[in-house]
Amino acid sequence: MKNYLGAVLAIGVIAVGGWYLVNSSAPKVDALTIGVIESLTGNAAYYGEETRKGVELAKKELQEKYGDVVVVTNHQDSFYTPKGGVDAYNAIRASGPVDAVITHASPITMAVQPLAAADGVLQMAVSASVKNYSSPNDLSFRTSASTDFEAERIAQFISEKKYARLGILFFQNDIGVSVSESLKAELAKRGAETTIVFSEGFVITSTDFKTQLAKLKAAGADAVYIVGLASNVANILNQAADLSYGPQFLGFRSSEDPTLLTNAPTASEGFIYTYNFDPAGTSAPVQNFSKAFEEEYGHQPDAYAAEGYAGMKLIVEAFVRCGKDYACVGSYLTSLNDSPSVLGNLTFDENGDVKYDFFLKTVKDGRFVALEN
Amino acid sequence: MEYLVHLAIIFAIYAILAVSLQLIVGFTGLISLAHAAFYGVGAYSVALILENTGFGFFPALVLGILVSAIAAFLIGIVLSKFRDDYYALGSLGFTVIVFSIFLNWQELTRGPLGIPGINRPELFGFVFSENIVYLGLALILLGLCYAFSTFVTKSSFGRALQAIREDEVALSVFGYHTSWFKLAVFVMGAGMAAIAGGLFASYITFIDPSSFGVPESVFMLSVIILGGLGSLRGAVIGALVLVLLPEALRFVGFTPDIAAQMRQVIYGLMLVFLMLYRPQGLAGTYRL
Repeated sequence: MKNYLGAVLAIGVIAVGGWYLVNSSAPKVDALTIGVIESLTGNAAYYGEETRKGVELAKKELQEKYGDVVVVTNHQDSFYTPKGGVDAYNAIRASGPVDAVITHASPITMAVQPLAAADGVLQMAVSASVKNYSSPNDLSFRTSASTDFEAERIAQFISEKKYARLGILFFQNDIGVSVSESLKAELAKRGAETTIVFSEGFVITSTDFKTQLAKLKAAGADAVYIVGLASNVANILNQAADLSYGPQFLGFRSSEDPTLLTNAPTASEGFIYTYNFDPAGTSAPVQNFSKAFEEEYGHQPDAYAAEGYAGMKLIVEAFVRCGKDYACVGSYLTSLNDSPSVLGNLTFDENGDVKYDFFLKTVKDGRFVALEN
Repeated sequence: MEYLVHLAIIFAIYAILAVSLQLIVGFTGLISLAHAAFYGVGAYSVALILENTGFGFFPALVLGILVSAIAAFLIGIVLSKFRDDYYALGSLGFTVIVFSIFLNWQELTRGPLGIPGINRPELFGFVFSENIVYLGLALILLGLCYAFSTFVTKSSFGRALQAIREDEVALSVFGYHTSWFKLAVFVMGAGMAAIAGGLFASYITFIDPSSFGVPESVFMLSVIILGGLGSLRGAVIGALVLVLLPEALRFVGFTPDIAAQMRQVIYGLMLVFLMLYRPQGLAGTYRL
């Protein structure tokens, strides 16, 4: 009799345990609608388009992984203006209930943030590193590390190389100002022996930089840090070559765009910049992503695609674990610590800010490659 | 519904801009590209006053109108000596200067970082936080601007403006100081543009210089040309069409990889055809 009861008890425990295991790993959600607000036209269209590709690839993989979860994306163009972002957000909301919204670029992200917060919609910002986005204990997160992290890496490089006279050229938008200010602060913090001899903003549509380059040359800058679109960087490098001015040019993440290689094939050689994604990286997430992206779109992914991809994955994984319990979704994302991703190991803080390492890349033989040594 | 309310608010803001610009361009014949600057002055004034003082939205809006009107008065003294392309160039220069101030005076405007977290209007403890209520406020202000503009255009002052448009020299022969009329209508238009700016700032709750540059002035000019010059009704219709058309195109079923680009192509084509077949605009009485 005792043996019989024991067997029944054991079967019961196994059954309950099995039921719990099956149900705890099963998705807690059956359908998700995610609005994606990108800059699909205008100056930042290239970056928005790459983000869109990353998001769609992640969606495809997630649907294969969680066959029962229907993921719907609603892409809307922000025209790279705050008003366009708000228009797009309202258009998405008008199409039906939305569980999360991905916002591309800082001005759009900032304009949408209060709306998403008021609606209780999870917001995942990509290519948005402006500091003001940080806000504690809400549903706003991002896959772009704050400008301080990027500036830290390039400041380290500048200090190591002991450049004596640094010039800074930045586009006059939120990113340009944030990155250049972060770099100045970081250099000061490090006590670097580098003097900033020139710092000037330019309008994003500028094409003629010869005046600034002449001033930089006259100031004797031996390194010039450029915060601009790849098209800006290409023009600066070409025009510097025309002026026979050859300092070490440095840049930040938006430099990596095929435009740089096609518009400045010779002058871009040796250009060094900070980046957060290496498609040739050896980690499993990066290799899988790069391979799948190349198969899908016929070219290598960049950081914008990677940020969109990572953002989409984080959103869906959070909902799969928590269902529509937004408190749980927020806690899950905030609790991520050294979580492997295509952007390296991600750690979120209570502000929804992500932390990961930036590294240096360069243009070598007409290709974007990781900088060795 | 919420989306329609949002579009209606944006329409009301642009209708105020269009009606006020119509006074300057459509009724007086002065091609002004300075309207985005006054729109921005209103927006930044309201945002900065709300952020840095204890004033509420409505006193801030009144101060914003004053700041914009004073700026218009100062620049208008110079501009009112010109007309036609010289006026357009002078007003364009003013917009570029104001845009540069928004962009570069970082201690005041925060430059490209913009001003986030602008509060919604509050009146006797009632906060206009719901969009439908905000729409009511926007429509009331539009109604007031429209009524004021109607009064102006139907007055003897308005008839003088139209006479300036038709033949400024002839009017000055009769002893009219046309430059004062031009200055006055410019200041009125700027004040109303500031109302639109204040509404925009407190509705979107985030402003940066990108919303107040030369392209925005060109867009406002397109609104009144498409709606029809010399007609307040045309200005409102123009705002309705140009605000709603790009939004309606969001729902045309293109695949995501080409949707945004195709919308812009269709939008551009529709405007070209409209101007080809209706060059006087939708409700215009006057052609430039």
